[in-house]
Amino acid sequence: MRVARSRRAFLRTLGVGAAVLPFVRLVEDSYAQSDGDALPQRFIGVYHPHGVAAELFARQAGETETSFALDYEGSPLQPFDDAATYGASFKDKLVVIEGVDLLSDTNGHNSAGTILTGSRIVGGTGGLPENSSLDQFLAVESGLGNATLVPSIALAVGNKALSARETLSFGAGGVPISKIIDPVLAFDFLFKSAVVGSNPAAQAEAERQQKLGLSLIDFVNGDVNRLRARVGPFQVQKLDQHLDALRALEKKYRALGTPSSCAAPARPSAFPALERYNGGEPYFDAIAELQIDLLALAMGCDITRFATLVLGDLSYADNPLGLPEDNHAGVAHTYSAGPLGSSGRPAVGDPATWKLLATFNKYCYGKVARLMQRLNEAGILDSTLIYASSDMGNPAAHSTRNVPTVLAGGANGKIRMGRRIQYRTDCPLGTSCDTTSSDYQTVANNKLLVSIAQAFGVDIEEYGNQPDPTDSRGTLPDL
Amino acid sequence: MLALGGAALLAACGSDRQPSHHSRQSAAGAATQPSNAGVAGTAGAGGNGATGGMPANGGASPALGGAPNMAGTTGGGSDAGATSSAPLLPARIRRLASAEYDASVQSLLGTQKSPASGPDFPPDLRQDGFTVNDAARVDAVIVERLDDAALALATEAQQSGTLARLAPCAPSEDVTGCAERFITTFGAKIYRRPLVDAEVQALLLLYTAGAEDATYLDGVAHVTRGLLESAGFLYLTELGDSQPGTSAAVELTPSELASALSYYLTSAPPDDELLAKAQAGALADPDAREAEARRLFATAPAAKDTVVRLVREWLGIDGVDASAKDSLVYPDFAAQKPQIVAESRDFVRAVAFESTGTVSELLGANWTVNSGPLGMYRTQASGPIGESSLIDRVGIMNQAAFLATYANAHESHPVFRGVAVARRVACIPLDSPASFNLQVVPPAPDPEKTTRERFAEHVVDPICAGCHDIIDPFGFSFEHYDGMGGYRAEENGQDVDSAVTVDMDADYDGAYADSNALARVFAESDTVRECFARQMYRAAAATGDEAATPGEAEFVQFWRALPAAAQGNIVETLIAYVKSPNFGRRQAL
Repeated sequence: MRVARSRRAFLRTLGVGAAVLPFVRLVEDSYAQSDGDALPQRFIGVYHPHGVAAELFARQAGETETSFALDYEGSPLQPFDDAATYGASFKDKLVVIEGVDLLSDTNGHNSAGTILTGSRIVGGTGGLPENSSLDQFLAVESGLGNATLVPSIALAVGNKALSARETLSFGAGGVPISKIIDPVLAFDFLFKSAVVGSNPAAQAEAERQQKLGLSLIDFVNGDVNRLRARVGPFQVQKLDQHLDALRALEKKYRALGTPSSCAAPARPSAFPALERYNGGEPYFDAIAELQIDLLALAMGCDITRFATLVLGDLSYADNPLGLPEDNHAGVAHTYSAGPLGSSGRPAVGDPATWKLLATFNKYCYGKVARLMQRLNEAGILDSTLIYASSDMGNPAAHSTRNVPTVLAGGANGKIRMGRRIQYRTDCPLGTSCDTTSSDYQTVANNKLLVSIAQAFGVDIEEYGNQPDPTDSRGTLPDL
Repeated sequence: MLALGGAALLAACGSDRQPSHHSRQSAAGAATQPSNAGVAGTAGAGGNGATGGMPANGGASPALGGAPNMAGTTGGGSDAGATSSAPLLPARIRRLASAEYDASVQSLLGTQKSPASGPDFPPDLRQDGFTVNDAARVDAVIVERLDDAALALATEAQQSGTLARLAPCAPSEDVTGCAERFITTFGAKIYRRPLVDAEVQALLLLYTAGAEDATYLDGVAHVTRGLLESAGFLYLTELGDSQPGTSAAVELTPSELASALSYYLTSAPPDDELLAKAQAGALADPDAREAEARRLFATAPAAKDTVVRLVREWLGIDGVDASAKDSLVYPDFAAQKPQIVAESRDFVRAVAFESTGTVSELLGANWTVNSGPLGMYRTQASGPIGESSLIDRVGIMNQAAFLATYANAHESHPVFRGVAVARRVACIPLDSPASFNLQVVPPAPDPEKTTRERFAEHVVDPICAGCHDIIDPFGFSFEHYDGMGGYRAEENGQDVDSAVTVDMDADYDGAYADSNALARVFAESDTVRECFARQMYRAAAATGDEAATPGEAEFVQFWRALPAAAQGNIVETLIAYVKSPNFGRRQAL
């Protein structure tokens, strides 16, 4: 990945850790709307499957960047303006962007890995991005996650496969970070060290666990370092990630039994099934909500500040959305786009299929709205930035152009919210996209990643590995 | 990326099959690079040239992906495309895959548990479909699962008496001395080599921490937990005596040779006999390695499990374990799935160890195991081996696991099937449509047409035809089998057409009535046999770099010198790798 930094930011990374000075404003020239020195503190990347019904997602006729409605007929974005359900309208804590492209160089189904990496997916079967994802870059490599007990967490619903498909978080070199699909394990990962019974026996047991755990970390740490001294430079990255993981575990052992100012929630009960294609689907909605609630609680307690969440679909008979059992075939592939969803190709399309897909889109945005609601209740929505997207625009075409892009939260004022931004779409469907044409004007999501990193005070100029460096470089115009 | 013209596309997929992606860096390779993130002005780790846009995946199928560097699709194959391969695999470390972790703890502690294959562990990161992958890491989630598993295994071993047996201590003995004896003996088994003094001392500290205010065996259990989380256990080393940062060919140490052999063939650590041979320096001799390999196949049950795993991963049919179908379209799938999964394991085992053991029979058998989904097949009386039936299908490609894996939830998928046959079975390189900037529009549902009619439309486009002239004959030949692998004579009221003509300038060319006829010819194809050898090499190589797996060309050359009968034999192909000249050599980087 090319990550060009200013000397100032580089010195900061080397010397004074960002975790020590999280509030120092380093980006004087980035955002006009910054209304104070506070940087966003929390980042959450959200993936939702099956692309988008562009016709119903798009800004409606006559609306402008700042004057728009979200509650029109069939709107998938309606949950963001639904105070009755989500406690508040989030219309002014939202930027909805059209026309962003995922330059993944692969089929839409393999392009989730590009959302936070800005990387092409390379390497044949099981192809992967080539660099880390933004959440890991901010939390681990830039050190912003060091301030909390858990530097970052990758949550998912139904699918824990490590691949570029339906994975958002990647460590150094583009290796997938393990996703937690079981809310019980998510609870343990976030809260376990805070939950110790108050009776003396439980305290004594926690003390022994802590002592043994720390001795074990000491030993493994030494053992990894002994091996590290024997390997060449290309192998060191593996062991460095292992050492990072050990440090994270060590923090938890150190925190074991420490009184927390924050009341931990009750440990959830296990679900009968978790995995997709193995009976998990009927529980996906409840799992998604529990993952969201646990994440918001953890962020409210400042246990973690960086997270990703991969949502699943509701592919099962008699699902509450009334969608066909196989969402992939029955919703995504039956979508018959008009010109908007065809990236400009003349098309009539079938509005009934738009509604069907928008129903699913609305369901997913409802989950994002729920996340905003919970963060709002915890008083941290304004200091959070959520980036929600899908691996496709038009899912029937597996298109990675014009993917739905939503920024949500307050971002501590670093990004002007309450807007709808439109970029022109490229590459009409069904044609060979001539990227050498003077008319070609892609808006790679890499630029959004640069914008977000800068909003977090990490002064980079490019992100990702696009072969044309202008695609990886610079911030998103107009943001 | 430059827009490619039709001629270039045809060259990429057509008969002039250039391995077009030499400059590409594998994902695994990229993964082993130092991180570039955060470093000013560093170019991308991958060598993605502007025009060499590497296909990652051509579709939703797990098998769709990059281009293998198998230039030799003509009979017997040639290695024109493999010359870019470095002759040696890199000196490296690699984390144990799930199956290896489980087989290891079972072998070392006698447990019945399979923690890494359980629901709590993250799954393996695959390379080219294979689970053994040198890109695998230990991240913040995995480190906790390993900690949980180690604690549970150590506790179980303490409670079951295993630790008392492994770490005996007479009342007259000094417990610390007993602990040290346990550390040096059992520790050497876990590390697969003798421990160095620093390791012994570090483990003694663990013993002290565990035994403090507790018992001797509590201390031993804590040591066991530490051993199971150690780098020495979790990472197989292939380093030889190389010095970090130097670049030279190195020989694996005797212990590393033993581990490389035992993990490839049994997924488990070396047994005492193999370790003894290694320590005596015997394994530098290829004949000694062969003898040990044969001994393991004769004695170690785990060797048979490993062959089953390798074949399932090669064909991608282990994907059926985590698959589901639309119950409105395929209401029987859920009920049949256990048999489909069972067949995908038991048939491989039966061919490899109870019958001829050949790739030919794997692909060309007219029988299957009785544990399979016989209700989906037309069956006759018993087949050639015990517990088997003669069926109306030919070989593993026409069994339900393959057919259901390479299909959508509601329909058959000729492209998934065709790509899987081309890439996995025939080793034909294919490019992804995305690498040509093609926006693929999957065929829309049409209740009036057969699947073949819908999918056939894409070949009208000359750009698409460049690859689909290869993919479609393979894929359409399976059209008598629906999305779960059931037979159909008609679809949407029309007769199904599975007749194809394969014209690849290969020894399996011909006109075929269906996939069964094709499978009979594949079963006798030298090209396919060689592809199998390549795939078994890639499984061992663990690098995920299909386009240029280091050492593949040299291995294939070695394999070609085997007697014909050995070339076509599954187990003999694995043994050939163990015996090959570069098995114990690595390139230090």
